Amino acid sequence: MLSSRILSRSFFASAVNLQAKLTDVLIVGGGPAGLTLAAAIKQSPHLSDLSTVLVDAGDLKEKIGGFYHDPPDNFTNRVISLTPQSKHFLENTVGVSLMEERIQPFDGLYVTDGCSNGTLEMERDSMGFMVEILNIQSSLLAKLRSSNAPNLDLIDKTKVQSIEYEDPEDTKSWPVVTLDSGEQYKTRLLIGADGFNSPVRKFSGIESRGWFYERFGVVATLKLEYPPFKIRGWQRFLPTGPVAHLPLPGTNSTLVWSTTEPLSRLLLSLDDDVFVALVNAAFILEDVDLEYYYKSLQEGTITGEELIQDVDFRINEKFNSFKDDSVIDEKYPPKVIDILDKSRGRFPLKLSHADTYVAERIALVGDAAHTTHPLAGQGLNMGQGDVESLIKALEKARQRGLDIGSLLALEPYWADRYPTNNMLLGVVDKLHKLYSTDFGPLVSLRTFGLNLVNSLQPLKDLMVGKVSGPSK
Amino acid sequence: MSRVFTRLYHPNNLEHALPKIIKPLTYGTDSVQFKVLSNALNKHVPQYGFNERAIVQSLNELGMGSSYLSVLGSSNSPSFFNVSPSVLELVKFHLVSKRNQLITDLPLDSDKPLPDLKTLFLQRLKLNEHVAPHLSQLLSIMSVPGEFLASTALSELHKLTDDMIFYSNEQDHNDFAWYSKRIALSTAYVSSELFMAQDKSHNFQETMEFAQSKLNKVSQLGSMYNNTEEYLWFTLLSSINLAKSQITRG
Repeated sequence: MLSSRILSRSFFASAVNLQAKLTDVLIVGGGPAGLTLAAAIKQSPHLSDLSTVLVDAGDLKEKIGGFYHDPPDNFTNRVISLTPQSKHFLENTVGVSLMEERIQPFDGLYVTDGCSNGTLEMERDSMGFMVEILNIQSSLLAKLRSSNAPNLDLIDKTKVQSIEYEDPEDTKSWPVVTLDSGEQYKTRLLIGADGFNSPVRKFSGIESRGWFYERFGVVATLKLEYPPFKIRGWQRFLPTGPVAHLPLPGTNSTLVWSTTEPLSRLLLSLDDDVFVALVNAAFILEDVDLEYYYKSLQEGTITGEELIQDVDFRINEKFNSFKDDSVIDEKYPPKVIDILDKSRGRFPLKLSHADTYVAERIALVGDAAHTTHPLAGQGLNMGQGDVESLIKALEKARQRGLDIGSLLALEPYWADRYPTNNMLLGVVDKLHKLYSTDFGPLVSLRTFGLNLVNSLQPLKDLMVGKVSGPSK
Repeated sequence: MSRVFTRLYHPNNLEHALPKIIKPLTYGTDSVQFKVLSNALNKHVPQYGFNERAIVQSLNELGMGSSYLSVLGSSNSPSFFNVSPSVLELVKFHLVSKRNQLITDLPLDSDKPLPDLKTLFLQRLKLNEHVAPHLSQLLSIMSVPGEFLASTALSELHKLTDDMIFYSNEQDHNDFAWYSKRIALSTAYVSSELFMAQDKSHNFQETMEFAQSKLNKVSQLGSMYNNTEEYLWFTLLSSINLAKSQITRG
């Protein structure tokens, strides 16, 4: 009886699928979201017995994993701000021990308007943590390695070649993933943690909508003249986009400067010392001064030497206008003296949001589901929130005896995360739109609003609470 | 070959040379009217302006009597409030021939890229240079309410902007933006011509600058239009998705 069933099954199943290995969860993408999900599944008492496969095109095990035990002296340029909730989730629920000596907690944000004197000062002990993305990834890999979880396969340096349904006619059948190593996996649940151009999302047929901001984010690792007097993030909204200067341990600091496409190319092409002078200028001088520098640099009417002298002169002039020198430390970030060699990079900024995060046997997390402007530092945290919510949904499904790949098991994850992500994407988008103009009436209106918020402590507490969790 | 020798029952292009008519003019390029009007426009309008004197001068030069005036204007209905039909014909001739001149040199049959909208726009303004002192006269003739305004002045303006968009590398749309773009461009063109009527700068440099700033505004308006449309659509769909996601809670 049994043998006849096996016979008939193998007779009908296609030849491809005969060699396909079976797995419960297959995660495409070994970024922070994908790795967190794998580690969280293995950590969960309800899910740890699920066989899990993670596929990534990069060199996860050696290059990224090696970072944990043998980190470089300098800081890498891809740094993100981790909210206390995300950090709590990573450390307490997933059980990761991050490399604490490479994390910098910051105690506030100082936001200014590049077109006016609007200021918003937010204070909160450990409001957020500046962490390198490599730190998060390698710590997760170390956790996965040390817990020596059974039923876990990390496949790196391998690309996904194709994804198809076991029965092409039936979109409720299991997805079969073919890797470029020739291996095939038939999976109960396929997770797309594969970023903005997600192949899993394309396979699932889920539409993603949004637009490019026509802005680029320029990142760099900065060296400061002296350790900061106040450890806080500095953000200035210029009409071309916000520029942010965020603390790292010691005299290190990281820069995220969003600007237009031609200017981002200009910023990348400058000599290190000229770039440093422009970064200092961006936080202290007026927007018209910056525009003059951009224009002269583009037309080649100013040499690097002249620009550096001019910036120094104007900054000194500005500083001399203050009666009390302590105001300077209060209002401006510490002076940048150098940048790490070759630490400059740029990436396009966009908004996108998938129509749904789940389909039968498919779930999307992180950038595959939504991307956002980095001005509020929410991109990675939204991905962590997704993973936390998806784990909860899977645990509940498991406890109830549901098939974890079924839409019924996955839908609560979508219902939980869509409103939150939609709200965050919307707020960030509106902030970008509000600050990307130098139209007079709007500038005075937003300055009034910013100063008003600054003087209303309860409102500030509420805003910080929304992003960093309720105060302890 | 056989097509050449076949005689067809109906009158056919193969058998009759079509007169070279530039619509909506009713006469071909080798007709008497065309000769008189183009001679008037090129030689006498710069001196006398858009009036009967310029046409009479042209007639005299070509050895014709001034009674031809009534023939020239025969396709225009007489207007009580406007200038005589023959002058209306001169204005119409100016509009049509300049519009046609704009596109005759374009590389339409070859693979060469088409010029951009700005080039065509400025080129058309440059074609006005020799009649620039009389532009305000021209514009006032065109703007008198009546049959001429509706059937010639406005329709020529719309044909001009349509040509500029069609014969440039500008992206065209098949939705409501089709109208918005043409209306915005027409407004920019008329205001540039009004500016030109008063412009005393060398080589009409200020007019060209004015026109460029107007065009930038048009393209800004266009991107605002697109962004708004995109944003509203995104908001609508994400609201629907939001509702859908909450419905799954059951």
